[in-house]
Amino acid sequence: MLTLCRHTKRQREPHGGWRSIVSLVLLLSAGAAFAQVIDEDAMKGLYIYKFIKFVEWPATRLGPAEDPFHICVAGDERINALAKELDQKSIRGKKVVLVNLAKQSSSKDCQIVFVSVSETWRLKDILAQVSEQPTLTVSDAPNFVKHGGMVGFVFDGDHLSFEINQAAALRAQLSISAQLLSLAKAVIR
Amino acid sequence: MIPRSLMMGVCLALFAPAFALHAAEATEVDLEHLMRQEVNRDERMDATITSVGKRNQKLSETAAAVYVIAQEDIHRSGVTSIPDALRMVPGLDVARIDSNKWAISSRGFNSRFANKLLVLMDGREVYSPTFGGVYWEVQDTPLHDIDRIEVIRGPGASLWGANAVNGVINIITKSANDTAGGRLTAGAGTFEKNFGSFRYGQQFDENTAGRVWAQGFNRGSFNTEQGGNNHDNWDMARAGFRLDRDTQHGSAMTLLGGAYSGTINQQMSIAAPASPYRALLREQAAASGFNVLGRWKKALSLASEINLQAYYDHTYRRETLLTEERDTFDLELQHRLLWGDYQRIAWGAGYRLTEDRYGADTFNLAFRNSSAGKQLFSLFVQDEIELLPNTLTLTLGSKFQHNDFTGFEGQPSLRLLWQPRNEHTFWGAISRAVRTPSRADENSAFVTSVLSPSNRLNPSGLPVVAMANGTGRFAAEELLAYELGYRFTPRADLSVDLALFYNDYQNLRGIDFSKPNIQSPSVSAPYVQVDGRVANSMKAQSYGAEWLVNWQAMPWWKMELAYSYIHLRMESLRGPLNFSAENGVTPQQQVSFRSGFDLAPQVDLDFWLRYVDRLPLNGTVTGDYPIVPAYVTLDMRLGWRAYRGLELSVVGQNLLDSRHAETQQELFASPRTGIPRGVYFKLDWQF
Repeated sequence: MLTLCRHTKRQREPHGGWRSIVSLVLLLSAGAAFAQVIDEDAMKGLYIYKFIKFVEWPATRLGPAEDPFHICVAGDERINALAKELDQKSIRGKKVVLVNLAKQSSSKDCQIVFVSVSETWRLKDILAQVSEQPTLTVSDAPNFVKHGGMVGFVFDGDHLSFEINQAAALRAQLSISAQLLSLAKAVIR
Repeated sequence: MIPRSLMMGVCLALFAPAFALHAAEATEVDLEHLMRQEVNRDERMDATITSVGKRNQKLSETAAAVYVIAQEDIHRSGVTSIPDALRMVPGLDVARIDSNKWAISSRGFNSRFANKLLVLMDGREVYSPTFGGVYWEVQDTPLHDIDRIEVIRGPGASLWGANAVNGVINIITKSANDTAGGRLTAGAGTFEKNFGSFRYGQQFDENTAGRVWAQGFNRGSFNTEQGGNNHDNWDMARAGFRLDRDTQHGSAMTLLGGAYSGTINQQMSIAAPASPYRALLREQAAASGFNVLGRWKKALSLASEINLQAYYDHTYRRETLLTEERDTFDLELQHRLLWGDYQRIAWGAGYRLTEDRYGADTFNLAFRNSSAGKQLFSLFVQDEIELLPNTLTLTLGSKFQHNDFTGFEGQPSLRLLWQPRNEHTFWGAISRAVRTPSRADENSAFVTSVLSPSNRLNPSGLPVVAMANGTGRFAAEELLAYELGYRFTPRADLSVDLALFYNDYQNLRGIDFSKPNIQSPSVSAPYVQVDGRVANSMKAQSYGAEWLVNWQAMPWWKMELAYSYIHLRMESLRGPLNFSAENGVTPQQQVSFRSGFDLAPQVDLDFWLRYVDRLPLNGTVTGDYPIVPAYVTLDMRLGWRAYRGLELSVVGQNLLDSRHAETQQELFASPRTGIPRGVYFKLDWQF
C-alpha cells in the first residue's frame, strides 16, 4: 500500500480546481493526524539526511562512487535509529551509512560529523579535530554555531529548526545552497 | 488521471498514523514538510539513562528492567518526598509505616530494614551497613532540582556491587548549568504542616555554574488504627551546594555537598527486662549528617574517557535503641573505551572505608563490638559486544569485591539485547548477586519478641524473651536471577514495556530457634531467655512480571499504567522454628495509573490512582500480625502558572479513605498507623 503512495511522486500532475480543493482538505486532515508523532531523535537524523542534498563537497572529499557517504556520530548515538532506515537508501548514487566517530580511524572519511549534546564537555576538542577539513559539522549542543559549528539544531516552539554558520562552512570549502539558508532560523554569514 | 497531490493526500490521510511514525517512509518527505511537523520532545518515552552501562544509553536499548522518574513526573504528581515518587515504579513496593518511616524494596522482601536495594544520591551510596537498608527519612533534596531518578529492578550487581541484589535506585540532581536563578517554594497543609525551600544558582562564566540551597519542613503526626495519636511528627532542615565546571576541552568536574539535621518523634514497642516485660517507648530521636562528593572526568581520546569520584559521608543518629555515628570514605576510578569496531569496555576499581561507633548497648539491641572499621575493595569490568550492528548486543560483566565479613564475592552477569526493528526490543539477562552481611547480621543481639507466660507458644509460667544472635559466621545471601523483557514503541506517543523475572535465592537470613540456648539470666526478674541464631537458614524462589504502558493520547493528555505481579515462596532449611519475618513481605499485585491533563497553557490537572494488594504480614516469633488489607488510593494535583515564574498548586493525597494502613514495622513495631487523607497548598516562584 505504501509503495503505491511512493509511486505518486513520480506522476505528472494535471491541475483541476475541485481536485486541488479535495487534495488540500485531505492533506490538511492528514496533517492533523500527521502531527505530533515523530520523536526528536528520529527528526534530527532525518534532517541530517536531508541536508546532504543542499551541501556541495569538494569532489575529492566524496571519493569514488562505490564509497559510501559517512555520517559520523560523536556521543550517545541517539540518532542511530536512523541507521536501520537508511539501510537501502542512496543519495547521488552513494549509500549513506552512520558510523561512530570514535571508530573511524580518522575523521578524514567523514563527510558529516554529528556531535550529540552529551559531548558538550569536549565540543571544542572535536571541532578542532575536524577543522580545516571539508566536513559538515552538525550538533544539537547549545550555541553550537557560535562556537564555530556549521549547523546547530534549535527548537522553535515544538518545531525543530536550525541555525547555520555559513562563514565556517565556506572556510571548510563547503557550499551550502541558498535554499537551505532560507529555511534556517538564523544564519551567520 | 488522478492528480499527484490528490493521491498523496489520500495516502497521507489513510496511512498518516503509520506514515508519520516510521522514518523509512518519512525519508521520502521533503525538508520543508518535515519542518512543519511538531516534534515529540518528551524524552521520557525513550529517556537517556546512565545506571545500566555506566554510560549514556537510550532506555529502549537497555537490557535491564529500567524505569526513569523524570522531573516532570515528580512535579506533576505532587509528591513531597522521594519515597512517594518511587510509588510510580512497577516492581517497587513502597509502604509508608508512619509519618516518618517507609519500607521500600524491589521484587519482594519489603520491610523497614529491607536490605536488597542499593540507593545512590548523585553517586553516593546511602544505605546503612548497620542493617543493610536505608533510613528513608533522612534522604531528601529539593525535589525541583532532581533531574531524574533511574530505577533498575533486578540485580545491578555486576556494576554496582553487593546489596544491589533486587534493584538500584539512582537519584540524579540537575547540573548547576540547568538551575540558574532563584527558586523559592513554600507551602502548608494538613499533615504537610509547613515546608519551604530556597535555591539560588548562578552561571559564573561560560564553563562554570553553581548553586546553593536550603530546605526545611515540619510534618504532622498520624493516628494509629485505634485512633490515638502515634506521636510521629518530625521536622528536618537541610542545606547544600553544587558546582559544575566543564571546559568543553574534554574535562569536566562536579563538586557537591550537603548537611541536614532533624528531630523525629516516634513510638515503638520494645522488650523490658522487668515486668510486664513489654513497654511502649515514646521518644524524640535525632538525626544529622553531612557529605561532600567530587567527580572529575577526562577524555583521553574520542574513544576513551576516565572518571574519578570521591566522597565523604558522616551520619549521626540517636534513638533509645541505637545511637550510631558513621564515617564513610569512598574512592572510585572508571575507564570507558571503545575497543575495535564492535566492543565497548568499561572497567573500574573502588575502595571504601566505613567506620562506625555505636552508643551503649540496650536490652533490646546490643553490638558485640561497639566500633568497627570495615574496608571494601572492588573491581568491575564490562564488555558490550555488538554481534550484529545496531541489532544484537551481548554484554558480559562482573564485579569482584573483597569485604571484611565474607572475603571475596563475584557477581557476574550476562545480558543480551535484540532489536530486530526500531520499534521492538527483546532482552534477556542472567545474573548472580550477593548481599553481604550487615553489622547486625554479623554480631548483634536483638530481641525479636517477648512472650507472656502461659500463652499458646509459651506454656511455662515465666515470660520468655526471644533473642536473635549474630554469630560472626553469616555468609552472604545469594541470588541467581533470570530475566526477560520486551519493549514495543510502535509510535512516538505510545510505548509498552514488559519485564519478567525468576529469582532463586540461597543462604537467605533466618532467625533459627531450632537449637535454642535457654537461660535464666536474672534471679531478681525471673524470665527465660531463648537465644536463636542469625543464620543462612532460608531459601526462596520468586517469579513475577512488571508491565508498563505509556500513552500520549492527545497533545494535552498523557497517561501511564503500571502493573506488578510477584509470587514469592520462602522455605525453611531448619524446620518450623526458623523465622524470617524480618526479611519482609510484599503484596502480590500492585497497579498505578496516572493521568495528566494540560487543561490550559497555564493549568495542569493530574490524577494518580493506586491499588495495592493485601499484605499477609508475618509476625516475628510470636506469630502473626493481622493482615493489612488491600487499599485503593487517589492523589490529585491542580497547578496554575498564575504569573511569569510563579506557580500555585493544591494537592490532595490519599483522598479515597480518611486513612489506610500500608504496612507495619516488623521489629520494634509501633502500633499500626493509618496514612491519612491530606491536602496542601504550595507556592513555587522562579526568578
